[in-house]
Amino acid sequence: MILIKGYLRLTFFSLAAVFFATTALAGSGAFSDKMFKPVPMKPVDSILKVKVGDRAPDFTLPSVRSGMVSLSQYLGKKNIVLSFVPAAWTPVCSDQWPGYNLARSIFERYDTVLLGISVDNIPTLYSWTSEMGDLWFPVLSDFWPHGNVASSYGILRSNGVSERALFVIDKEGFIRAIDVHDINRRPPLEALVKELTKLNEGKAKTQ
Amino acid sequence: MATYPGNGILSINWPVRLNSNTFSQEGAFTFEDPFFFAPPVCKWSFGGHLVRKTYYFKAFLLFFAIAFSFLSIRDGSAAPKEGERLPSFSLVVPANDSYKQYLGIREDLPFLPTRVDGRMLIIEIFSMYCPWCQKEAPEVNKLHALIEGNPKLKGSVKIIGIGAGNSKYEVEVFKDNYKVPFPLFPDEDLKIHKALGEPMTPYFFAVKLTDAGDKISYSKLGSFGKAEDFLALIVKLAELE
Repeated sequence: MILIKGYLRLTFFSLAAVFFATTALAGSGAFSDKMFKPVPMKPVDSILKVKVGDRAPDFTLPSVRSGMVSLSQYLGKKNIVLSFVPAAWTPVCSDQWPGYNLARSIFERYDTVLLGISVDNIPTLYSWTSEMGDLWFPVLSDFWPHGNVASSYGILRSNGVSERALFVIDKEGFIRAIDVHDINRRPPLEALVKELTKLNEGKAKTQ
Repeated sequence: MATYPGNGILSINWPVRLNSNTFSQEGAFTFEDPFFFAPPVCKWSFGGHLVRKTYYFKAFLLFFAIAFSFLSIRDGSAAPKEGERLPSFSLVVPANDSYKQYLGIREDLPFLPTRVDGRMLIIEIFSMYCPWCQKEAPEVNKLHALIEGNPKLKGSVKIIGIGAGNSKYEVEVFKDNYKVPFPLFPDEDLKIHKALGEPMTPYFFAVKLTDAGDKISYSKLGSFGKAEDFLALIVKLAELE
């Protein structure tokens, strides 16, 4: 009896030991290797409080590297894309921003700034975004009051993280496109670029 | 698994127990024993010596068996290994004529990668969104330049990239940014990625192409290091010299 119990424990400890050993050993490869593997979540879990055509709610948030950043500081100067991601260190959004980092010239072509926002605090965002290389766009922390900005747009989920959402805002401060994406999926870049194209078309028409 | 405080080799209090002799009171083996993995001849190994010896042996066997199975799962998931054949998947012929020429594909029907003209095909699984793939891109370009600049290798070693989960547009963004000279194929629905065992990115395969069939001779997650060194390895594996 003791022996059987022993074997069970033996198996357990071997598994535990191996788990830790492999966690350490396998940390050499790609970014995603160190990532938390999430289970699929409810695609959308909030109710939007803004719509296309509305004036975008203003905010001021601390950024990882460029001090306090306000939406209003870009008014009249740049179009703005707000990219909300649910939380740091999750695979899909670890993906999303490095892609936008590579697509810098596309944003610039349409005279657009990108603001990345998550509900994480600054130290977490610092560590996380450092793994992505040098980001050309500000990363803002909507940590405290928790998810306040996400909540003002109506994209704070019931568990305290934000949706994976994109807002395209023109130079006058009006929302021109909204994509509250399935949280489990990455929005394709071309869909966003299409909205940026329309932004300039719209502007051409009004001029 | 980690929530098993106070027990076993992973517990933080075992050095404390090392200095006490409480564990020896029964004289029998317990798995809270801090000497679980100690050599069987150690001086504390009294009583139940034989039992302990058996356990050591089995523990190590079990440990390594599980360790290796875990490693193979974690490092590159279920991607096919060296010595195996490349799983079957088809590629859409690129619109660009110079790519068609590079690949040696004449018709416009989807083709198997093993039909590429050459003796070694290097396949990079990448994503435009993956920062490690971004970092690796200049080195892969360099590899391509080294191959094309060497008359002995040009035509024999080919490179293609597969953008896992990337749309055509996203692959183009990657290509334009890094001026990638070799063909990149979008894999938006992850069909190819799935066929290749869903590896993480960047992942490199080198597939030896012979009349007798194809054989994977390199299958690894992560950077291949310096282009010169990797090319030397490829030349060796392809037996091109």
